Formats: sequence, C-alpha cells, structure tokens
Amino acid sequence: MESAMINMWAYFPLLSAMIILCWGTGIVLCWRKQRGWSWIGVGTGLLASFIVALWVFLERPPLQTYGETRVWYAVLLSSSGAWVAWRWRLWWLVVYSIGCSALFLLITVLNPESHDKALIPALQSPWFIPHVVVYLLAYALLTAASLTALRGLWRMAHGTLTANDSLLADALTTLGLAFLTMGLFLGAIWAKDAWGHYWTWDPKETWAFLTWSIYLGYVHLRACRREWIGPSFLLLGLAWEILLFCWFGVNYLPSAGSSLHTYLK
Amino acid sequence: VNFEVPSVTEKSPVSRPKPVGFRQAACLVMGLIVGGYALEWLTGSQGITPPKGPTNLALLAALVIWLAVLGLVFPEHRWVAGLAGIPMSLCLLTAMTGFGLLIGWIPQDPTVQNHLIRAMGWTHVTTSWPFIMTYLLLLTHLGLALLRRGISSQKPSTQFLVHHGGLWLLLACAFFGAGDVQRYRLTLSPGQTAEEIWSESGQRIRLPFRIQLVQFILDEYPPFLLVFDGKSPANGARVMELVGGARSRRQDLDFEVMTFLEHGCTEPGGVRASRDPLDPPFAQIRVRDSQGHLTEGWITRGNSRQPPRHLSVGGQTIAMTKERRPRQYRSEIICSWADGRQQHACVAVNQPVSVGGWQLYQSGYDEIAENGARRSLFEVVRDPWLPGVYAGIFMIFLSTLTYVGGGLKNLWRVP
Repeated sequence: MESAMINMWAYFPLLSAMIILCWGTGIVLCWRKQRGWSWIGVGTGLLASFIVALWVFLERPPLQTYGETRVWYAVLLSSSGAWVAWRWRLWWLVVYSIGCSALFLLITVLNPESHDKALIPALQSPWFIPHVVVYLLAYALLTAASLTALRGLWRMAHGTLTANDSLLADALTTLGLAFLTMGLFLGAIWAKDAWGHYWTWDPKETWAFLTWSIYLGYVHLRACRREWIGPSFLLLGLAWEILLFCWFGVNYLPSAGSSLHTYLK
Repeated sequence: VNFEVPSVTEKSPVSRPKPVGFRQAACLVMGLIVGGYALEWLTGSQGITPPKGPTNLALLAALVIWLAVLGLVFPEHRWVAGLAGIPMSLCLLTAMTGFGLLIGWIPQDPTVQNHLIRAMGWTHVTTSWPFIMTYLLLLTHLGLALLRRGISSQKPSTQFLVHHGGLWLLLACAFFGAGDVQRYRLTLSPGQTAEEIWSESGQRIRLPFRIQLVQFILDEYPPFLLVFDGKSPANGARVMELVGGARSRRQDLDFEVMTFLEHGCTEPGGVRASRDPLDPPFAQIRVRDSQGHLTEGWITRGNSRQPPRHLSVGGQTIAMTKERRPRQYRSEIICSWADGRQQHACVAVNQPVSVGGWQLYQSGYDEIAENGARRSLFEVVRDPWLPGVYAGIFMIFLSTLTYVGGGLKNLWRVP
C-alpha cells in the first residue's frame, strides 16, 4: 500500500495534465456553442476521484498540507464555478474558475511535497474535516465572487455593466461569507478543545478575522450604498488578496514564529 | 441600470430626524482612536489590565443600562440612530480591520525594543486604550442596532436578531470575561502528584484537588527508510514508512522491510525485540540492486543506548529517519479531593477533561526525556464566562445556516 501511495503521487503530474486537457476541451467546445460541460465534469470528476483515492491510501483525510488543500480547492472551485456558469450560461465564469483551478494544480505539480500518512495529534479531531472543508468551499465561492467583481470592473470601464453582475457578486459573496463564518466559528470551538482557548490572536486566526471582516464590510457596504458599485467591486478584489494571504502568506510574516498552526506545511 | 435602494419599514419614518451619516460616524471613530492613543501614551503605554469579577459584571450591567437608556429613551435622536446605523458598522469594521492588521504584522511581544511601536501600544494591541474604546463602541453599536431592529422596527428580522444578538453576546462575554480567565501550567512525571499550578508570569495557586499522573502514553508513527549519498542525510529521499512487509523501489534498488521492531537491542549474532520503551526502533532491510545482488541487514536511528546503524549499497546509504512523529499522546490521571473522592481520567490532545470547574488540557510532553521519566505537560484553564461565549457562537451558527439557505435561494433567483 505504501508503494502504491508513492506511485499515486508520482502520477499526479500526468493526471493533472489529463484533467487540464479535459477542462480545456470543455471550454473550447463551450466557446463553439457545442456540448462541453461533460468534458468539464469529467475533468473535475477525475480530480475528485484522486482525492477519494488519496483519502483511502493515506488512511487520513487529505487536508493536512498546502498541496492537499490546493487539490480540494481546485475541485471545489471548478465544480462551483461550473455549476454557476451552467445554471446561468455564464461561460466566462467557467473559463476563469477553471483557469484558476488549473493554476492551483500546476502549483501543486511544481511544489512536490512529502505526502506521508501521519496525521499529527492536533489534527485528530471531529472538527478537522468540517472546519477545513467548509473553509475551502467558502474560498471557492468567494473566489468566484471576486472574479465576478473583476469582470464587473472591466465591464464598467467598457460601459456594458448590467444589474446581474452585481446581483451575482452579491449572491456568491453572501453564500461564501456564510460558509466562511461557519468555518471561523467551527475553528474557534476546535481551538478551545485543542489549545484551551477559543481565540488567541494567533497569526492564522488574525488573518482569518481580517478576511472575514473585509467580506463583512462588502456586505454592509452593499446594504447601505447599492449605487457604489465600483468601490464595492474593488473591495471584493482586495478581499480576495487578503484571502489568499491568509491561506498562503501568513507563514512569511514576522509574527508567524509564534503561530500554533505550525503543522501547516 | 436601476439599482434598488433598500427600504426599512419603521414606525413614523417621516417624523424621525435623519441619522448621522458616514462622515460623522467616521469622525467619531477616528476621534475615539486618536483619544485612545493619547490615553495610551499618557498612561505609559502599559495598556489596560482586564477587570476581574465582580467589577467586570458591574461594568457589563452599566453597559446594558447605558444601551437601554439610549435605545429606549432616546431612540429618535439622530446620534443614537446613527450609532445603530450601517455607516457606523462600516467605520467600526474598518477600525477593527486596522487593529487586526497591526496584530497580524507586528509580533505581540512586550519585549520588542522599538520605541515607537512600544509607545503606540502596538505590542499589546488588544489591551491598548484605542482598541478597548473601539471595542466598547462596537458593543454599543451592536446593542443599539439590536434594540432598534427588535423593538422600534415594525418587521423585526429574527435572522438579524439571532445573528447580531449572538455576536453581541460572544463579544461581550469575551471582553468582560477576559479578566476572569485563568490559565496555568502543570508538569508531572509518572507517579508524581501536585496540587499547585503556575501561570506564565510565575504566579502560583493551589487547586481544590490533587492531580496524580499515573501513566503517560506516547504512541508514534513508524520512522521512514532514508536513502542518501552517505554525506548529507538532510538531502536524502524518504522511500517508505518502515512497516513489516512493506516493499518499494527507488532508482535501481528494490527495498523490502523484513522485520520492524518498535524497540530492539543488539545481542551477539543479531538484534532482538525489547519491551523497554527506552530502546530505539530497529528494522531488518533487504535491498536488491539492478544486477540482482542482495544486501540484508539491520538499521536503527540509535539513541543514547545504541549507536545508529546503516546499510551501504552501491555508494548509497540506507538509514532510518531520526525525526519522531507522535501519533497520539495521553495522560492517565487521578484527581483526589480532601474528603476522599477520586476521579480517574484520561487527558489527550483534543480531549480535555473537566475536573471541579477546571479544564485540563494535554499541551505537550518532555521531548528530550531519555531517562524513562517522560514528563507530561498540562494546561489548566478556568473560564466562567465560557457558556455565554458558546451561546453566542451557537446563535451565530444557527443564523448562518439560514443565511446559507437564503444565499442559495438568492443565487438561484439571479436572472
């Protein structure tokens, strides 16, 4: 089983290439008004199957390392982006969300990790899976919201903005923020069980709070100033930067040395 | 493009004066922060020590009365309405985000030498005057928003009340209860008993019960098989976990783990299993090269009792990784009271135990112990305001579930 696990990761670049090929074919077919959604579904399904296989072989949830969370993010972003795009025939959204997912797969291919089976004691908790999965789902939805906002800014500049652009950004942000809130408070309850306190202003917690507060700011801004579309879209774009920094950048901060989230590799 | 401006249905909207807007809200928050920094500087940048009970309870009661007077007696005043408004929410969110950025960038370490950072209180942001004053304004804002939407509004939103009510409860209990949180450390060796615990600052208190560590159990993952060039193990490759029967292939070499012993010791003619937990792990490895030559032998990472053992095959060194990987560790304890009562418990990571109003956490263990007396490290915590915090989290969680439902519905409705 051990050697099978190692071989599975050895084939990950090949699998990623196949997935990206499926996605690319799907996008091209959608562009030509042909049936491309099934190709996108096959690509995402392959990636989801890889996660299931990884879970089985590792004998633990594959949610421990940055590489593993990137694979989850790619699945959730491509599937949620494709679902929203399919429902409202927004083919541009599938291009962006799948482009983003492909980028995360490439990053994982270019940053090989030591994928071992060990799950450290701090992560052996019933809160582990709901906390991380809910967070990654929130990240995927908020990424789709930010992509909608960036496209909205482009369309504003070209005078082609419609009411649907901001409605879609609002709906995706509300849903993403709800999951982000759940993830944040699930994390607080878990922190109490693991470390004795629900909030310690640990660097990861602090940046999670910043991410949450900036998306909360967007929701409040939209509630009272619906006509401020440009600033709202800019805020959504900035919020995504904070989200990515919270995910990957925290470890490079001067305060990271004191972090309790040291298991993140 | 016709964007709908939301309307709030409230009692006699015509007779109400216009609440203060963004500019006044921003001025109030900015003024408060500037005043807070002035106070911080004037008080020697020491920050505020959170008040303990019953003072904190009295302060919370005063805040509630203050909110009731403002929200129920002067609900129409433009500043009271403005304090409850969304412009104030945005200004306060911006301010709290600013404080969050300070905490996120600057290590919260009182020993930082930079004079400006110390003078501004940026080494202890959460106890500094500007943060505390902004936090109190946030509680005032949330409380007034709740009163306004719950009492003044003709159509109070249950979702809003539960969500914001939960947030208020959580923030109030976390803030006023901070002074009553007690966190102490305890280190015990197997068989040792203690009833005194120590804080990080060296303060010592006596518990109402005695804690005895019966046994500390450390369960580890197996080490890895490491292949390196014979010079730098740090650049070596981990081939596989050392589990009996495991096989793997790397470059032109086939590896097989014939036997793995969690603890072993050498004897004339070989290695035998040992029951002594202080003996290091051993693995019997068989390596076949591309020409079919077999090499077989025992490897160990070694410790103070046994020297490390490696195998050499075609210029490559086959070794065992030195890094230890705990799977789980736990402490079996007995807590006993003066009246003879006893409570047996097992404390593990993520599995705290509640004893006499205190929570016991397994915070770590003595990693360098080699003499058999591995010490167990505990954190002993008491937080009497925790039920309020959990009630707040529960309310937020409940309302967030409805936001998920509403969010999906909104998403579906987008034309």
